[in-house]
Amino acid sequence: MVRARGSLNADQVLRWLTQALLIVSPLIVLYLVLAAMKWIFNGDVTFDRQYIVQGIGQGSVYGALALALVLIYRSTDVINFAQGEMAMFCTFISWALITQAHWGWYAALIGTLVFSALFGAIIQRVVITPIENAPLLTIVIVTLGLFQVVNSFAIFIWQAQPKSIVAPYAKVGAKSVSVFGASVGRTYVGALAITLIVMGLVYVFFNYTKLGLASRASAQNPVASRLCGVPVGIMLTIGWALAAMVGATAGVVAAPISGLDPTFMQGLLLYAFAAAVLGGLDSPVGAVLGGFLIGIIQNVVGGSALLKDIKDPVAFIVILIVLMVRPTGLLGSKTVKKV
Amino acid sequence: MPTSGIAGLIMSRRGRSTLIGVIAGLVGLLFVYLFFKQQPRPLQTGMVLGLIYFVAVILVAPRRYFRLLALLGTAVFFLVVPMFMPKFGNDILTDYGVYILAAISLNMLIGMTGEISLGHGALLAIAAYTVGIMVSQHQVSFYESALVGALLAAAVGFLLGVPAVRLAGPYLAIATLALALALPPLGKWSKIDKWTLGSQGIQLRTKLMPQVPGPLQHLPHRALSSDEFRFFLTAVMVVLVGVLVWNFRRSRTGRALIAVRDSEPAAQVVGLNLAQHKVIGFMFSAFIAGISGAFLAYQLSSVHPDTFGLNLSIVILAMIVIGGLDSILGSIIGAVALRWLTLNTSTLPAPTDVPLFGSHLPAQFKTFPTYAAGVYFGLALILIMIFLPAGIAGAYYRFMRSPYRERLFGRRGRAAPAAVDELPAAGDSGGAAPATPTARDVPREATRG
Repeated sequence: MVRARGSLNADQVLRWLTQALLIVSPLIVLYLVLAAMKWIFNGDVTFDRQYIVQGIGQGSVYGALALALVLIYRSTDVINFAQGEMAMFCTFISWALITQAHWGWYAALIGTLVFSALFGAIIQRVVITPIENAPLLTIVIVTLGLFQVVNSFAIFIWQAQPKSIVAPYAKVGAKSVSVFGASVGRTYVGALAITLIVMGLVYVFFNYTKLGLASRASAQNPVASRLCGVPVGIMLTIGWALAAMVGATAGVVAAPISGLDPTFMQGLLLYAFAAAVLGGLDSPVGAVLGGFLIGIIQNVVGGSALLKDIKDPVAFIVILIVLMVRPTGLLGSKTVKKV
Repeated sequence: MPTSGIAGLIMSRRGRSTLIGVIAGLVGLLFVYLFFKQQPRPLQTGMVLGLIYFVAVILVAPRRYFRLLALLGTAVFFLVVPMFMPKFGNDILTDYGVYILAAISLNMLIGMTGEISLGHGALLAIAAYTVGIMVSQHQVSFYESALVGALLAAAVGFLLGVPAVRLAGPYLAIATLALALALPPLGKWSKIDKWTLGSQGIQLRTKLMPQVPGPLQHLPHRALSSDEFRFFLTAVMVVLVGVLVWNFRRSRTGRALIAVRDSEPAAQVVGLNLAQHKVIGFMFSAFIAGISGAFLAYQLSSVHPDTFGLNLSIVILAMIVIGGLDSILGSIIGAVALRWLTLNTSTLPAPTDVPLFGSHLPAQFKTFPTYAAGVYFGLALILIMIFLPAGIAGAYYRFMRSPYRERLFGRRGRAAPAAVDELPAAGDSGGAAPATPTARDVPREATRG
């Protein structure tokens, strides 16, 4: 589809407006829910600037992991329940590189990315290829099995005691910085920055490289791309490798925030799922925005003394409500089923 | 197919599937042996006697009495064995029963209607909490509150079924996952902990829970103990629910659900209301889930929010997938296998036990089964999905239809009576297409013995 650049028509503006409205709609839903809560419980629920800034920082990690999920879903139609555990395993590799091989943090990050790409590619080849065309349930079960295997191996190798990683960007200067009058921990700012860099790289990869084009093509129409000479199988493997790298990045930046132990990714994964579904499972931008939204929701709800104990249920109820209204998420495209 | 290239040189496809079958069978036998070894004495004796009985029935009895004799044998087995079991043995059998109920309920949903749910634990939680609150705080008897709990769960199933009509597979999976995560932690919410008692949970040791009824306390030799009664009650419930689901599947609505599962457009063409049937499927499944939740509360004598975490939902899902979808036999196999595996991880073989290379591994691998039980669990899930996509029961049904069966056991219904017996069976399975052995048209096969 070709569209003249630079010309703004009403149609386009309208579409942007709807999209913008869609993106903020969970906030509106949240606001309504909280208003109701406030009324029922004489509540102590507020939308504070602090919570929003903090939420975006926290949400960047969810967004990065959600991005990994979306990349895999787009290219292979697999919902990868093992994504978080793969990221956890890779984070342990980076921890081992730092503490046992005495690498620098950034060097360890790069080493981890290389490892994670291999890891993702091998998993795709060995475990996912045999069930490529299986029904959704089979895929869900296999990735859940993978979850168990990776998790148990990590517990076996590194034990369950939490370990700590200190990121270099958290060491300089004061512990927190002030953004728009709200103070945020440096670890969050660093996480956000690294997430944004990774997103930019993914964007450039998909939109400006031949390889990215080929992998988009093979995700969209495997048969036609095979006819054009694209090695679809290899493209899918690359997709998994890339997603594993994005996931590993999320793990590496999340570890300084939450501490590192074999279960540290499980909570994150669930929020990443929530973020991916909220944004639409096939929309990378939606995933990241969904991550921010989830982060904000969590912080706002967590800030209320009353709802603090149930901030996770509230977040998930908001998602349920959004899904009822928009079954494919905020920015997701409608799937057309072939009969 | 990239894999068929090299493997194809070594072995034909048929040969490969035979090999996989043999390996799966051997692994299965190993696990059956481990399972057997782990049971209390009376159950072992019972299992051996039962096996002898079944072999005798197959060898001696006329074919048309098979079903009757098999049912009779099973009934006697479960009536007699618990009387000789120690308390913990009966408790474990009860535990299997509760999970069988849960597995049947989820299998009804996923196997029969094709909708996916990762949130069945939440439905169990609703019924269990209803029972807990009604029994401990409002002095309602267990049976009544279990019914109320199951109905409440069905109501939530209705609420779950409504979005299910709109949501596509992956979104529904995650929406139900959200329910599994959102609901159970509410039990810890300080605002409502005057009912739920927060994270300490509700204890249920009152007279209102089922008590051994009067007549059974004055049996000739000794009274029925509470653990025996608990087992019998659960077993009765399993049988009731099993028969209910079995009949439901063959009812008009059940067949309609299967039609919706197999092809939505085709179901619409014959005039079925998709939304209505999906909601019915969810409600019915949720009702059974509620029953199992009530029995879980009964079996544990307590209700605690941590019991109903995400793990429960996933374990139930794994049960039915390992056992076999859309099959009651599959639910039973899966539930027993997984529960047993969960309760006895330390008896699993360690990598150091593997012949040839095992002895070269470092010593710390000796504790592998205890610390890394998830590896077995996960590998079992992955391997079963790759090699036996229809689950254990599905593989069994497939075997029963395959030519190998004839080669091993001869033609069904040996020699003379065959001609007579084949007729009703063939008429019975009228609609099922014999050419495609899937897990679906199967439960009928199970009764043929």
